[in-house]
Amino acid sequence: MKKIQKEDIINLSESSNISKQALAKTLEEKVYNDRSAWLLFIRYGFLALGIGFTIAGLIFFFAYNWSSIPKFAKMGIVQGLLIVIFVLSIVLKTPPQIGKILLTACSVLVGVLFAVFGQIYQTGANAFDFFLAWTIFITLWVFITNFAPLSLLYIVLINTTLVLYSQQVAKDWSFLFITGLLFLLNTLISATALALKTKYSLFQRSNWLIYVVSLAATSFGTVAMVHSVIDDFNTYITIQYIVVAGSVLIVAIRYKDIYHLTLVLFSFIIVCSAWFLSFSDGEAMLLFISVFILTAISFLIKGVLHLQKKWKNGE
Amino acid sequence: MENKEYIQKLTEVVEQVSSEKIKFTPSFTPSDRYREKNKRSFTINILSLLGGFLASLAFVLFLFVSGFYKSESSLIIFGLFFISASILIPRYSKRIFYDTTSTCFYLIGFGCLVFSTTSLNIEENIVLSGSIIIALTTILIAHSYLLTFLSTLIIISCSIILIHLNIPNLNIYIILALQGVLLTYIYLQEASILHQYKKAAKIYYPLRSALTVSFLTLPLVYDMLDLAFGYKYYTWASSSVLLLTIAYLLYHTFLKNIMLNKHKAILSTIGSLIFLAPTILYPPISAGILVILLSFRVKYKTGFVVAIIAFIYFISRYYYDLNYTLLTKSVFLLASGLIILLIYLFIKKAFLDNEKV
Repeated sequence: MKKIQKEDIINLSESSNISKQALAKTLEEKVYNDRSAWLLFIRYGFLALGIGFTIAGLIFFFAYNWSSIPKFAKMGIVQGLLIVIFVLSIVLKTPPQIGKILLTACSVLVGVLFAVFGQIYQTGANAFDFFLAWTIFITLWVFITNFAPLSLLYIVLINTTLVLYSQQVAKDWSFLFITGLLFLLNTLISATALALKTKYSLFQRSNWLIYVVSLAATSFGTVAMVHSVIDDFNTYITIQYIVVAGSVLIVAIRYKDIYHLTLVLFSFIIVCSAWFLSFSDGEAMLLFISVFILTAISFLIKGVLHLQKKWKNGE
Repeated sequence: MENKEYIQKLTEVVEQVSSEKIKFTPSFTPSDRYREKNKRSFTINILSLLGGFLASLAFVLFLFVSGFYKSESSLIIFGLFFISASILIPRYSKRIFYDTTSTCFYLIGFGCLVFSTTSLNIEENIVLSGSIIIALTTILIAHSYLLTFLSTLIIISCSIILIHLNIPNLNIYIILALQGVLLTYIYLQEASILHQYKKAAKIYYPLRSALTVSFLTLPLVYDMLDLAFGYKYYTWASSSVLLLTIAYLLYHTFLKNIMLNKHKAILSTIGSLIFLAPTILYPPISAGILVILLSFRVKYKTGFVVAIIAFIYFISRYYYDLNYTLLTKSVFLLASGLIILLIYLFIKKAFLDNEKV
């Protein structure tokens, strides 16, 4: 039998003869937080506030004294912090999750270390070099930790490095080329993660990571196609988009994946709207596009709900 | 059969807690059955939101390109049409897609009306009062979460602007204090309000969410607009009102939820007030604390998270605006942190270690 639902208690006044006092008492005892929750709140609230204020105070202290700290001390502080946290992540007898969080903190500190190094020595390196070094130096930790937030940081760094490379080194790359490349890169990462889902626990317990990367891939793909359709038509981007979208559709239907199915079809609706806009940007076309989007989304939602029901009943 | 058992269990639970005989109306449908029928995945909800937004955006562009905005009468007609459509749509379909579309229509309708009244140079008091009346009508007729939420925000914003137009030198923290008292009343009187107005649940929850959001964003808006704050004594008076409200809430919580005896509850409340006394200098911090406590009490998770984010922002803002060196600020922060940790250790030893938490 199902648990008593909060909504049923809230609707008691409408659906029963309960008195005001009885309703208040039921809400207090069955819906609101109880004594143990309050005690936990007080415990963790004070702890978080105390630690937060203390750390903020330390950061402000270092910020005040930063310019007068000798350069070796500056490097030493960051390196020391990195080493201490790394050693703690290995030595401390805590749940594995805490060790992974500490290693994630170490990965962030690697970036801080390179930033401090660049600030002290004014090496003249551009942002691309900084992000490339950061990415390379945390690669091993990412693969051995098997921790989704760290993997997300790593994927963000790879994307950032690529974008900065196009802006600071390969300056002849067009906007379409770089968005197409990002589309391909993130699609490959997402597809690899999905393919390895059965083999590696990371992707089994962290669907959100795959969803975020797929969303990024779809966004880049959609932007590239819209740009191609409206401004500067490119056959390769179009073929790439059609092949990838078609493959994702087939795989999503095969494996009953509502998220990726919806993502691809929504992207397709946006690209179609952009295509219509490329013919004319007059008021009639805008009205048509508005009606098209409304109709297409309605049909898409209806179709997806129908599929969802069919797949659920077929289980 | 499962339904009958569920209703029986629900009856037993309520009768046990309230010591009253409960009888459900024949039309009562347990929420699980209702939820199963109307289950939407997160993906479909997001798709509906984005779809509604994009469709409305395209329509706004259509209006813009076709030059409708140049004619005030067209704008008024379209404005009223969109608002009427947005009120009627949720009455005929509960699907989130139509909910989003109706919300976008509502915003477009309001935008058209405000734009046309600005062009016609109608007095601001009349425009604001008219907006409040339209928003109130929407709340009473539409019964849609999103529309009620937006309408409440419109009523609060228009009321505050009206107050400022007619009482220019009013300290904004006085409004904050009054909002704080109103918000506390609404949170604490949930049972009363739900009991008094039979279909109140449809209006109460979006109204409460909107009041919470406006209460926390009011200091933010004033910061962005860089408005004068008036006499500092009014600031202290507003903080005092908020602190007294927090004290009332804490006393109520210590007594009824944490179940201390009256003597301990009073001492704990006084101790909490002394601890929170420094926040008298900056009312938004007390505002953040008040919403954290209220949201946690009623298990309103979204409000709780938003209040924590707002609280962190207000504390950061306060310290950022202080006219002291980084060294002095670091000493204040370190000292505050160490005092809080000492209080934590004291509370842990005196109260929490004996409890099984």
